[in-house]
Amino acid sequence: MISFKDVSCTFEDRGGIKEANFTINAGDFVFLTGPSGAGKSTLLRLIYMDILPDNGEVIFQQYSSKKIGRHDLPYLRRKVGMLFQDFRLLPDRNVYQNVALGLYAANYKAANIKERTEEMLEKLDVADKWYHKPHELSGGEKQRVALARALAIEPKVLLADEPTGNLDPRVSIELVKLLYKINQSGTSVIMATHDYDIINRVPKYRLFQISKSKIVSST
Amino acid sequence: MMVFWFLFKEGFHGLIRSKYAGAFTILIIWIAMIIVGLSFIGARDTLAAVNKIRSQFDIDIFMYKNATDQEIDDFHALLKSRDEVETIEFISPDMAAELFKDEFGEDILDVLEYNPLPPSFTISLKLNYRNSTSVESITTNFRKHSSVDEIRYRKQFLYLMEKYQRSIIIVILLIFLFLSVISVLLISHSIKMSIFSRREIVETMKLIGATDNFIRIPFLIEGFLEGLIASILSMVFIFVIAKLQNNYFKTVFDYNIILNVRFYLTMIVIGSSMGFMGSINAIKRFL
Repeated sequence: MISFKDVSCTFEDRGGIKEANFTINAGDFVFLTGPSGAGKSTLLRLIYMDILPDNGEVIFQQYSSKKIGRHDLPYLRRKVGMLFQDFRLLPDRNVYQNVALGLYAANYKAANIKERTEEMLEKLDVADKWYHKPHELSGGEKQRVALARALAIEPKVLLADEPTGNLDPRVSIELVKLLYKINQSGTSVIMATHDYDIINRVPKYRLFQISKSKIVSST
Repeated sequence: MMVFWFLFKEGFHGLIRSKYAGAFTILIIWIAMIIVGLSFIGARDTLAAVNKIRSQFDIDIFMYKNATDQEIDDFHALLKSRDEVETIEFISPDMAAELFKDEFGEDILDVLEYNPLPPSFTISLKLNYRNSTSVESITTNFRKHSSVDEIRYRKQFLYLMEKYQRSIIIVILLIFLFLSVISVLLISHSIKMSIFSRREIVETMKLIGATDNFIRIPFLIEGFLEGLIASILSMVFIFVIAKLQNNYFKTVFDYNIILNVRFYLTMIVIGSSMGFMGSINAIKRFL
């Protein structure tokens, strides 16, 4: 589903990724670990093609970094759900509107949007926060709303960039368990973290260790 | 259709959400529209005044004193046949003597014991022909008529009117151009500031798979609405100015400001377009 072929993408100041070669299959749960600045976020950004490699090729389903055009990007991103450490919720909209926006953007039929949004809010246990604005939510609730938005569009892969960075340990563990549950239903998950404690909470996973822009080990 | 409705609502809500940045944009467009509106009224009325002065231009054609009735009738018929001629007034020697009396207070027959005044025609030309080239050509043609003695018109007046009208139009166009460029730049800049304050929203929209149009349309609608609100507010302001001038200051400035539906519609179209165009320009940077 995702292939990196001799991919290098470096920045003038620091970091990046060098000579990455790997394949991630449908249904995989992959942890990217390593210290800050090792290249974990760069690797994720390469997958959703926020940046393109200097050398090599990234392939995600039918999209290749060598051929992708600006107008293809929204369609690629509708196959990718994303979670970030800072949640990236729109502060001026309530929980329902944040989740529904992703569906409108993905061109879902209007008749299905309300139903789908309700379903996701129920599933992520934030239905009672329907009218709340993000600043009225706890960190864990914000991340669950962000997860509801990411999953609403039925992505093939879920990319999570340090999603537990702003959460306390108990909520972090709950989130990882939730991600594993989502993975069990067929969605691939790629999660960047440097918290080994939460990695051990997932029964089955692949681990990519990144150091100084290189994947030093992978399972 | 539902998506468009959603985007329209997003644009409308964007206007409310943008708060101070949106209000600032409306203020800028409002000021620009007042300047444009008042300049437009000034330009329109200046040109109308110039045209009114030009409409008072006429040509006096003096016949020979001994011209026969038949010759005068023939020339009258010739004048009637010309498309360029708008009005014709025949002044017989008796009528000329009456005019002389009205003007100078003495009867010319008492002074000279005969009437030396010839029969004449006073004609005016249609607006399109009230220029030096046409007048020169028309009068040259009339002079060829055997019973025409002399033709008089204010040649210098015509020349000066043409010269000044051209200058006035050029100055008005330059002022308009200058104001329009400054207005669009200011509007575009204030909309850029408004969008800049929400750049993270644009970034998030991109990440969740929104197309450029999906992101762009609400901002365009927002810009259009800002322009619409600003143009309505500027219309109200100009309406109040016009009412004050027409009702209270007419004794100071003898000038009546006329505002019609066409003026209001033009203001709305220009204001909304400024907001819309400013948004197109501003959002480009963020996509």
